[in-house]
Amino acid sequence: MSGDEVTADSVSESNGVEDPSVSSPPPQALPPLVAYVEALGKYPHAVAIIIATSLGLNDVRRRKNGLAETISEALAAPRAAERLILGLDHSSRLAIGIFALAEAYEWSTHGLFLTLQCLDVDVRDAIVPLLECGLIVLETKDEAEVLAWNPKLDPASWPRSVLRLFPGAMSSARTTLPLSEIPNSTDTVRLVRESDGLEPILRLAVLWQRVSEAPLRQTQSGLLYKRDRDRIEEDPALVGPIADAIEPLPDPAAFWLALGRSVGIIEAEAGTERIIAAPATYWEDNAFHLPQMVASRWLSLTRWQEQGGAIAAETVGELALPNIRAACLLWLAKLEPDQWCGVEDLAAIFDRLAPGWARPLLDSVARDHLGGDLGGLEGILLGTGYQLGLIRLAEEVPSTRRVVQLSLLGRYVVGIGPPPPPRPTFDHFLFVQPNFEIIAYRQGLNPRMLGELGRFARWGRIGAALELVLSPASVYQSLEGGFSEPQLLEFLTKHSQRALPPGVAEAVRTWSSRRERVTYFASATLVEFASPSDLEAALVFWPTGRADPVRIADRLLLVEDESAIPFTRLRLAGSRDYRRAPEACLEVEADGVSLALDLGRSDLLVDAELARFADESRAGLRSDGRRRFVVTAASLLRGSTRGVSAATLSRWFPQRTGGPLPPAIRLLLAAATGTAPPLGTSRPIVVRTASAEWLDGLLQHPLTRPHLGDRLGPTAVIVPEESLETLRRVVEELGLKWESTEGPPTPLKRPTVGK
Amino acid sequence: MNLSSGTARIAVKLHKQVSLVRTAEPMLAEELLARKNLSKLVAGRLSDTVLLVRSEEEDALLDELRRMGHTPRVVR
Repeated sequence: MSGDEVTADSVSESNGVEDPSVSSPPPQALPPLVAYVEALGKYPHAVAIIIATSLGLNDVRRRKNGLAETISEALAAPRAAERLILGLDHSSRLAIGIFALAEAYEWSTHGLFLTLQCLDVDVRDAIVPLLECGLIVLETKDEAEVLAWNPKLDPASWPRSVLRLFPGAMSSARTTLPLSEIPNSTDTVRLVRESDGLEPILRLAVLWQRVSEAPLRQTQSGLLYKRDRDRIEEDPALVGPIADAIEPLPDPAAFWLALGRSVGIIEAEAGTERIIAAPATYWEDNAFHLPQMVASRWLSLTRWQEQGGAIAAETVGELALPNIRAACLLWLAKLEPDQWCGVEDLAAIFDRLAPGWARPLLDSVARDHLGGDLGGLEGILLGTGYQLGLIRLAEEVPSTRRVVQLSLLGRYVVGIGPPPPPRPTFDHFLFVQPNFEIIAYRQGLNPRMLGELGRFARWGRIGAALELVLSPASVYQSLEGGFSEPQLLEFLTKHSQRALPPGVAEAVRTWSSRRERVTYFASATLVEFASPSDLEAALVFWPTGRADPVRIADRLLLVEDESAIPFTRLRLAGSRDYRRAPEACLEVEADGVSLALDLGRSDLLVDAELARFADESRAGLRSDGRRRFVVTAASLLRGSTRGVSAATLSRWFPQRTGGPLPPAIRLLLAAATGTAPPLGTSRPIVVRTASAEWLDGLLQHPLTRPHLGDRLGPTAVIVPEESLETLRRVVEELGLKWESTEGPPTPLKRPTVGK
Repeated sequence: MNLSSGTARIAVKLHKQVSLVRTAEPMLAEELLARKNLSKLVAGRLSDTVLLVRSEEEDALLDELRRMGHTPRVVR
């Protein structure tokens, strides 16, 4: 029962305002089998052994690890879960049937207890056998919690946690009805009412469309950002009043969001904070079963209830009322098709079996609610149950009491009746007006058609009749979703009561053609040829008909379907995947400004990157066939106008050449930006010595060292001009000869000075 | 590497998962390049009507195209 955890309260809270610090997506729920094995893995070894033994796994006593996986594998064996379920007594089968009825892989412990109490089932008798054979596991924080828990104690003292169903048991579990009888009436009834069951499908179609137009964003805690929350809450097509309503739906935006999430019509995008719409194919794949899916998932919505709407985010605890829904359906399933039950009678059953069932939270002290509460029950039966098409309402004669029974869909969902017959439809249910407004009559619609309508026209008002509008954006959206222009026009023509206004058909064609003006290829395949003539030659034998290649440059073909490339006639000389990091495909030549391109490793981006700050060499290809590019002061200047900075190049060169930015280019960059200090010129005074040893001495001695500059070689050192006289005096004081020469130095045994 | 050397089969190089924008006419490509916010997202121009873009900029690119009033066909 976790399908609505994120969205149900998302629109009811005052927080959820945009917070830039919250950027990571909310945590994703684990797949059911992983969550089951993880919960089982936390069991103490002795408890796991009990389960394994009950499954006939007698050789596992000494195993310390992997017991949870072994138990899971044993349960997954063909018909293993089915045999176990057949061997259970009625109360356990009824309990596991509730999971199947709601198509839920988990249920809160105390929520399930309340459901079972309302169905006159002993909780311990029902749950303990399921735990002992591993068909369900109790999710606990750690081993200690399991050890501290005694299933023989009053269920009220059990840990407040979650019971997880072994996923493989879902298909084997069947709905089991309570043993007791329900008060029923076969008296005459009148004013029988049954909804068309389209309301949830319609609102979900609106939600799907709105989220397709612009995804929703959620914070890490699962709250919608304020802007998105407002957009949904204020959308009249989504939250407007329901035409055929007996009981109102509180907080409708939260309800449709929660339901939409649980049936997968909108879903969290992996790795992001966005909630996106399911692909348009969702309608083709699921439309037929959608009423049944919606009904099942409604049973497992725990964060929204019929009295009060979504639970506030800061509320600690679980709602009680959602756990009554399944009990209502199972009790009504006890009625024969001609029998009815009073709403008050059902409330009286709950009052007797589970006093305080109408309390706001499972944890609440039930003192104020011991007397029963019809409001919540009416909300379930005459609010959601009626709108979902599960419940029929009538007036009992002569008492005028409100009585209910399951509809054909309700009986099918509970598993006691065949699938309801398809809705009667008539072809011409549309009225297309010249101003692009469309009126659709509900009587002609079914879920699939609703899905199709919402793919190309924007939902407006939802009432007894439905209003939609065709617009460039809606037509564009439909084309993006794979609904073509001919399909769209065919749909409108086929279902319109009158001939399609010519202006409408023309506008649709015009809007569709506009889309062809700009095409974005998200992951195209390009085939590059060595020469235009090679490309021409390839086109001669290229297979036609499927997805023809498109010539986009003299040496490049764009191919939408890679499998259509005739590789038998081509030789693959290289392949580059653009989702991977750029490859180093350039060699920096010795001059530091020339770059040679390795065609085998290059990609299309590198040409564009080089074009920003380098020029292709006019000298032609290198001897090894590589193209050459030269970086010049002018090309760098051009680059700087296009945003290529020194920092950009410092990052680019290691990526593309495998080495740092060459000093020669650094020099040019400094020159281009005017940041280089001016170069100086001077005639250095050089002291030469007869041997390196003499110079070593001069450089080491404390009196001479301060007056010497950079050493130029083994026997030469620069003397700063201002130090010359001082050095000369010091040298002479040390007893060495000083001798100035104008010509080439003559090696002396004693130091000489040359200028 | 010489793509045309060697055998009777024609040598080719494959560029996979390339993101690009193709316009119906060159003027349209010019229009896109003249748009400052959009030209920043263009990595290069492969021909008069084909612009090379970076895949990581997809959302920004499509948003900007729609802001310009275009209804780009998206091929995935």
